[in-house]
Amino acid sequence: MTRQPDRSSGDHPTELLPDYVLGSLGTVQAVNVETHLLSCAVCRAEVARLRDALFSLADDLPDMPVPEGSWEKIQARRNTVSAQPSFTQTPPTAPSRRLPIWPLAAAVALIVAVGGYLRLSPAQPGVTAQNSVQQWQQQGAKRLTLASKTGVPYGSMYVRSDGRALLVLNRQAAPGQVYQAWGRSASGPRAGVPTSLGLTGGTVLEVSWRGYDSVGVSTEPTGGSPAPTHPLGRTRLPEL
Amino acid sequence: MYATPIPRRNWRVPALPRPTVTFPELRVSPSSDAAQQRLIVQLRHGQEDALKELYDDLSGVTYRVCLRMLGMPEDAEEVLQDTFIRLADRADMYDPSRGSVKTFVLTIAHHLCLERLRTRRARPQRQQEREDDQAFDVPAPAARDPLDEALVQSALAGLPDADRALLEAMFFGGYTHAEITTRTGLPLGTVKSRLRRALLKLRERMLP
Repeated sequence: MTRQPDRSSGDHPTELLPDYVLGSLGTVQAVNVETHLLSCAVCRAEVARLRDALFSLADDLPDMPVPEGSWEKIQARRNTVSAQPSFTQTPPTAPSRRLPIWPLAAAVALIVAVGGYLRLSPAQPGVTAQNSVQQWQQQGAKRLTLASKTGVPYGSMYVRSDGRALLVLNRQAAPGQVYQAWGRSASGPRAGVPTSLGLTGGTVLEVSWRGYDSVGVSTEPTGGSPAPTHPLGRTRLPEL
Repeated sequence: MYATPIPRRNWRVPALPRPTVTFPELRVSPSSDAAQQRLIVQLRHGQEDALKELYDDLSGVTYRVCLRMLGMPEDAEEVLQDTFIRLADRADMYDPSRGSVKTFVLTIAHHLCLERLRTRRARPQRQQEREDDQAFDVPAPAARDPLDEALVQSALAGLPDADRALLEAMFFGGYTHAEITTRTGLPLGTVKSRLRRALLKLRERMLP
């Protein structure tokens, strides 16, 4: 039986989503659903709920103690792998044909598209605002003011044409807080969705802005947040 | 080529003494998903302690899934380790709008287990094993057939039908729809609709 998208709920293929999660759709229908999901947050949320429901089967399994020493073995294996850098570049495995893993595939595509997430440690010792700014200005970076919606400046951003930007905040974050930078694109499947670019416990943060139309900053609890909770403001990136 | 279908009567819920068991409640994780999302962000930024906290929160359920799928504790422990090593490498790929952290971790474990099940399926079996197992072209990963095991569990849980058993056979047993069809004798459309009904039932219990 071939089900058509449920027109009663607009053009959302609501009726197909359970079958999509179960891997019951044919190739064409699955591709159509995946295409729709790229631009529909409502259906993505429903797929997320269905996937959470499917994996809730695990909640009903009988308790079983985890073998002792497993964590230590994980640490040992990670240490071994980190001593062999080439192993860390292993590409993702091929997606299963039984259950869709479009979230992973889409995330891979996104990472490729934006050049990857920037990994920064929370603190960047040795990086001072003064020497960093001087260096970036010598390199021809364009200076922008970071300001709130009401126009109150809270820092500066130095943007280089190579896709890098230096954020310099006017003052330290409050104790227990960090600054977290976010990139947003104005169009595409992730339009308007903030993506973490990095965080700092200090006042200087270097990020990669490639793939985004604006960069914003928020204050977050130590360790950062999955989405901005206390945004300070965002600044549109110039054409470079 | 698939094995002879299991006679339909074998798919009836076994006549076991049925205890008074209600539909199992969802387990509440010691940490909320929001807290686990925060740990993922920390992991992305190189904070190693976050991996340990995620391991403490999720290793139990991950191990249970691995053990259920693979049947052998040694294999399950290996995949448990592989899962958290992969999680550390791919924390960047987690998107909170596409499911909980637990589902993200279990998805990794599930795929790793499926890979092992496929490897087992591809491995030639000894002649004696073939003769002992009528359904030799369907994987028999665990000591007990997960399909039958799922049926028994379904009966113990007091479920009115075998929908959930089919879903568990697909999810934990790694059976394709076609394999389930072959093993049960049910038409493919019926298998799909029953799987769908079972999933929607799980979806219902997740509503507040």
